[in-house]
Amino acid sequence: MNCARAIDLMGDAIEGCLAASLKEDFYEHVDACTPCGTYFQQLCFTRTALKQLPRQSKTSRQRNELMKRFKSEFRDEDP
Amino acid sequence: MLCESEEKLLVKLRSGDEIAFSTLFDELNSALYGLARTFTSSPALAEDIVQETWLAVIRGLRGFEGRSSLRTWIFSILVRRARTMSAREMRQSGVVAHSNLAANGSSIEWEPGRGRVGLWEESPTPWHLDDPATVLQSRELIEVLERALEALPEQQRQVVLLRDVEDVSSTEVCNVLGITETNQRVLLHRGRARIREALDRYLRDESDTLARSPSWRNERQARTVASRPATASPPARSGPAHD
Repeated sequence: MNCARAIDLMGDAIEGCLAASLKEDFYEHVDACTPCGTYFQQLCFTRTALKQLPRQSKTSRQRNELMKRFKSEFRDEDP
Repeated sequence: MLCESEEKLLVKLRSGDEIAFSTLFDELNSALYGLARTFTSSPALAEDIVQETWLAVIRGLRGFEGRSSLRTWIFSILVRRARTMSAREMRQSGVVAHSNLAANGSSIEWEPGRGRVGLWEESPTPWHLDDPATVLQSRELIEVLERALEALPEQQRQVVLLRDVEDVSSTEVCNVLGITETNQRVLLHRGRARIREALDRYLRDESDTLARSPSWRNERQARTVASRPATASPPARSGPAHD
């Protein structure tokens, strides 16, 4: 496996969904190739950091209105 | 297709269960707002888009056929609303829409099938993070990430936000944004690559600062914000493969 192919597969690899048939070659390459190994680790860190971003805490300024609309829409239903 | 828990939720919603609607709102509202912000720079317009989306959800619940997950359906409504409302806003304010070139971000460090452009004329420099978990929780790093995400071209930002921040599956993202799987992969990799570059600039600067100032770490840790526990290791190599 060359570097270009390894980098193409990094997206799948960091999500843990790399095809079984590619795993051995991929990890053999990133273990042996220092730039690819470093790049892979940094992409893993990047994704972990993104996953931990705090959610935007903005709540709808019209939440109460939405609840009223929901009640009104389903007023005749029997919960 | 709906899973069993979504089918139960849908029954509750259609029967007017306010707690079920409130739970759904709390679960999705922040993600919807985040996605809406990728279509407009105006926080007020983003809130309007989210509000219009929820109203459409309320009106459409009875007619929802369950061909996609409930979440995909709601995200799709938001995307349609956002495209219409942000285009109207741009027309009114005389702003010219980004070209496809800008939207896709053609100037990138990675091309599908060619890997990283210029590979490896300049090898990436290791970050030497002693404690990645602590670094991940720092307010500064979060700000760097937020700015990098904000600076991405629109489509890259949407895909990265949905896939990595909101943990939406690739299939759902393709359905919501109306893009192909290949395009989704390209946008995601380009977006991640750009954010890695931003982190690289920040972490290397910080490493330089650390080398100059031994007290840096203590100051930095004092600024650490409480957050979820963090790890940043590559995923396990064994386990089931998903082709």
